Amino acid sequence: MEYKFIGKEFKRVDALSKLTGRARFLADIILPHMYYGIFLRASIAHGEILDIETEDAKNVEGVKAIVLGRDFPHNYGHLIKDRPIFAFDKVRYYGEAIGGVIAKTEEAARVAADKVKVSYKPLPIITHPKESLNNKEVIIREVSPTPDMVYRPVKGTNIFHYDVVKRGDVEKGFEEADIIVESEFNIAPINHVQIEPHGAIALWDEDGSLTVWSSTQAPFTVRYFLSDIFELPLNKVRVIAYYVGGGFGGKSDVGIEPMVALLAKSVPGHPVKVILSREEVFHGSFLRGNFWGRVKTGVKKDGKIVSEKVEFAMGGGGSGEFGGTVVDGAFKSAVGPYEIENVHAVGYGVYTNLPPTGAFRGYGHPETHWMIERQRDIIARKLGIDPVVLRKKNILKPGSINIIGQKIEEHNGNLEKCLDLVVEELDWPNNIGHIDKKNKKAYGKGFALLQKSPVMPTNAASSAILKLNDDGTVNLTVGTQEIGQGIDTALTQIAAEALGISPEKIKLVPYRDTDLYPYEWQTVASRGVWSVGNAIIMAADEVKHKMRKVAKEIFSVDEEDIVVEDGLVFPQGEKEKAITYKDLAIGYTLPEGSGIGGPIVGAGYFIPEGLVYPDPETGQGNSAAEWTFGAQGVEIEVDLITGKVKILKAVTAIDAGTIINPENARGQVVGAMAMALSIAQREAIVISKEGKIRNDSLTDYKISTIRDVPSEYKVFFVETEEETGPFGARSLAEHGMVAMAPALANALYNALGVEFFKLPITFEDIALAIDEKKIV
Amino acid sequence: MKKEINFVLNGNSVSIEVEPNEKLLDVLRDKVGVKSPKYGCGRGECGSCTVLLNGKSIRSCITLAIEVDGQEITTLEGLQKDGITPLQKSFIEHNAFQCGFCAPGMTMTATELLNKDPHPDEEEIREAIAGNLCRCTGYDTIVKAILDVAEKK
Amino acid sequence: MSIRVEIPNTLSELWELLSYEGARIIAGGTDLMVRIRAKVEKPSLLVDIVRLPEFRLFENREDIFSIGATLTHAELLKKDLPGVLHDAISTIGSPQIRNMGTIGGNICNASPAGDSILPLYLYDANVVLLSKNGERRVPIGEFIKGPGKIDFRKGEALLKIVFTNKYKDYKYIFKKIGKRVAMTISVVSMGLIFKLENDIIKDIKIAYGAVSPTVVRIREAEEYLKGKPIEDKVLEEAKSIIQKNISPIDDIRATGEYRREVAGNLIFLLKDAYGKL
Repeated sequence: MEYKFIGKEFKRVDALSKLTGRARFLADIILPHMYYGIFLRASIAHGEILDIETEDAKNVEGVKAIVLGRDFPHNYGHLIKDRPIFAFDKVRYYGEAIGGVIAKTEEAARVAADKVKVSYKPLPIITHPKESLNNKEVIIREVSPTPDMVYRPVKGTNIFHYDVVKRGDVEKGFEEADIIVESEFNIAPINHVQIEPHGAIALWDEDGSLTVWSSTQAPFTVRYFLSDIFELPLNKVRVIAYYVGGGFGGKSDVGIEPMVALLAKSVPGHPVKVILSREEVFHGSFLRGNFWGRVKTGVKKDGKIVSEKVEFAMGGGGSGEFGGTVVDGAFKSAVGPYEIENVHAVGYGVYTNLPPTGAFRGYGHPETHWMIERQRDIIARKLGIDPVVLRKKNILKPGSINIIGQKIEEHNGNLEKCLDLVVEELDWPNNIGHIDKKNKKAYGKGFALLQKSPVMPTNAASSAILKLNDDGTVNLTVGTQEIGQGIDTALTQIAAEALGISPEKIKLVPYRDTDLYPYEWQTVASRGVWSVGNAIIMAADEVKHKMRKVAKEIFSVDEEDIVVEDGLVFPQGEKEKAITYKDLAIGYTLPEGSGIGGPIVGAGYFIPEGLVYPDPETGQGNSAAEWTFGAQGVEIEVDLITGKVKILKAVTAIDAGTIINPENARGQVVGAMAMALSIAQREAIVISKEGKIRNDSLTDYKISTIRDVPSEYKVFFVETEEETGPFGARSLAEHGMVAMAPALANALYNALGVEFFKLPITFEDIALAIDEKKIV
Repeated sequence: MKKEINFVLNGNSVSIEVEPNEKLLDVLRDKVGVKSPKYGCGRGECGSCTVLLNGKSIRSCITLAIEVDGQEITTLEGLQKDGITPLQKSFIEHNAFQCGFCAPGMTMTATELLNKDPHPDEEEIREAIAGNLCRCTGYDTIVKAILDVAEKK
Repeated sequence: MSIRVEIPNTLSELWELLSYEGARIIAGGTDLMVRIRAKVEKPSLLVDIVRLPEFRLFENREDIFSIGATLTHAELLKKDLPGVLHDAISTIGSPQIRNMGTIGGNICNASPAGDSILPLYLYDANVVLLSKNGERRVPIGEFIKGPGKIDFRKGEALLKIVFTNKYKDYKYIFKKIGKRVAMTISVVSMGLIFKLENDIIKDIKIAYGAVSPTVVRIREAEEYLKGKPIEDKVLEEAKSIIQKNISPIDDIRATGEYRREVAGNLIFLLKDAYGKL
């Protein structure tokens, strides 16, 4: 379909403010009468809190209050209620906050915090998910299922949630198979490393209302939790969010806001500001938890996968509230984008003595795809068939039934085409790998497939308001958050297309405020364009409907005979009589002077209709709203002397439906590829025997610099229009990182003949493997 | 023991009392009100706090404020005396940012590079920007944006 | 506790400041500020010497180099340095760190991974320490006593580094291996200067960083390689000599096993260099 503004070049609406330093971030906010807070953090990874001595700290000049977890012993949560604001009975990970100091200056708060003495009764620690899954002696948190609990904890274990998928009969499938392949996989815990650290400011008014400024992806969810924790009506809680300096999921779960709000409660009338230090971002925000999994696959000689059994456990950290839903996300992709008759998958969320797990770009999908897309290459090798052929025999296409029992339709996208584009770009199967002994280099190519649906509650809703101004320009307000992904720009284009006016005439009002902006569930799951875009189209329809109602009076024709098009309003067939939006914006003035109509505002909403909870025993049911499919690949060069890997080319082909803004869309995919490769090549949180994070700085937790990223990126968009999406668009932002790690490992096998089963695959791992295999 | 320091900030003289252990970044942001340099790591690793000291890029988060006494500091706010610079324009044109948090530091480093050498090649650009971390873009568009200005000059 | 910071303008001011208890010299601060932040160091008085002209002199007189301690890395990269030293300095940190950090600061941190330190071992450089009593000259290998440990006496400041470049016609290799390409800390680093005659190694000096408590010269491998051709069998033997002479440890950045493996492998870079001759 041809569009005027969709799929066209349009510069980002946040560009000028971000490139002049005027863009406002949380840390830039200084309010009158403001105090500063510093959190008190646990110095052991697991233990009962015995005593906390605060006298010396209270005497530090400038200290206003010291708040401890035991003053407000409360676990909050929507799904399991296992997250303390501040730890009060015991600490469950190194660096867990047990309270905070408020002072006139940050320096004074810091000095005082150092003077607080805490004594503990230490307990044994568990950090690996597999160990936690099997351990019944060290119970990190006692939880028992209750009828109102959404998660499914298992009493007497560290399991706080699990999901099951059952289709067919796996054991029968294994009997029918010609070969069985079994592999075990591991992934280290990682941090988002948004360049902007987390922060929040909270202010309690004397009338008991609470205002919180936060760097959050989810202002309305923050509001919900604050209202729940502090027992306030929603209209007494206001959450304001400025631009977010990188989210990647790590600012969507509610962690810092209740902590700062609880501190501020002790000093009403004074805003309290807390910005985490970089070290605290490692200890005191959310992680992508560590992961363990096992896959057993039964395959026919011709490559048809007949049976697959998957078991995995995700480390959830000290509380599971925000990690269990990652398991919910992962299980829907437990066997990747394949149709398999017999499947049995079980995924567990288990407590560990690490910072809590939360959302991370990809939401469980990079983890399951790490296993499955490695497993597919391993199977192909065992059978001696090309991995492209193996995949094509099993991938989801229109008519296939996926793991949760959904029938794939034409409009869900074209995975096979994505695969073809990537292998063509890699010139597959030519020169897929070789060792150059003379120059001490090895070369390899690898690829992997991906799928992802937005992981969200069945009722995750969005809304939008369009308000016409006197001159025919439009103000658009939405509750979704600009976190760098370019949503404000894409939504401006959608509004322009829907209203038939140029995007320059639309102002998407920057920043968000729950008192003033319409509801949004969260800015996560790559669902913004899809969900809010639909709400905007509905709002535009209401604007047009209101204009028609006035215009029918002006032109004395029936409402259905009024045309609203390209900023003009006129009776069918009489364009020369057209009036403009400007004429109608705040009410129309008739020739004799009297007014009709009034200021025009359109509101729209969207909720994904027809979603249901998965069946608890089989995981079957329509629980995924839409799917985005894609393929990714890399070409690499390995230095055999040092193990260093250079990414010569990174490729993604993705079917994200109609692309709203090609440049921004490419930016999302390229950024995600770079992030995924950085993670796959070197990112891991290193934990000491005592459970302390040893690399809590950017010196030792190394993300890619400009010299580490691929020399060349290639992005292909396949644009199969999505039936449920605005102008045919579907989700895009996370997908670029879902299959990069297995693509890299598959390329490493082709280069070196070494199978890697854990992430990251560091230069060190590669050098030691080269040495062990005597490749040089 | 507070000390008064005098320095030139974006062409204007500033005179301010600082504690001897105060960092330049905190003084600029919280006392002077210049907000473009950002705190990202506090140990000179991420580059979001980059400002120019006598034309050379430095990390303001590990620089003591009293060390700039008598010196000249330029931040992003100081570049746009006559509207935005070709470099800022090129960053906008090429989408060389996403969340925007690293953009001020990135721009200051690129400014120093282009002042030193108006025509750097891609390798020199990558070398110069290596100390400014960006988690969003994969750096692809950043290279293009700087290269574009270098070629047009 | 607040730190006092002083920026002396004359040597006599410096000597007075250095006489105070807890005084600590800062020269660039790119490492020191980080350590103070992490509470690893808690000096009560920081004495910033970067404005003292005596510490900022550079001389190259007939290959006798004298390098002022507070010259920044970026400043040194513009000077006519021996190639191996130039390359080593160019791998330090980021452009901003090179604009701020100084060679004297790098030496006094005495990190086994200190990039500018390694080439100084190849040239048997001396450091010159200045106090109000005069100069004291110490070989670099004696000045640096262990990780973070230097032969510094109360009231002294590192004035300059001196060495003679007797090896002008030598080839060199500097290679630094980190966990990523840029802005990284050495996991292993190697510096070589060598001379070939008729395809035979006439002379060679080998130093490694980050594989022992200090930078080390591998004199046994130097002796072994002298008079030998650059071929696989010889390099294999040199590799095992090198591996025997280092004592790498496991730390947050790498395992000792990896360091030992890569340190040994790096000697094969001689082959690349030889191929290009």
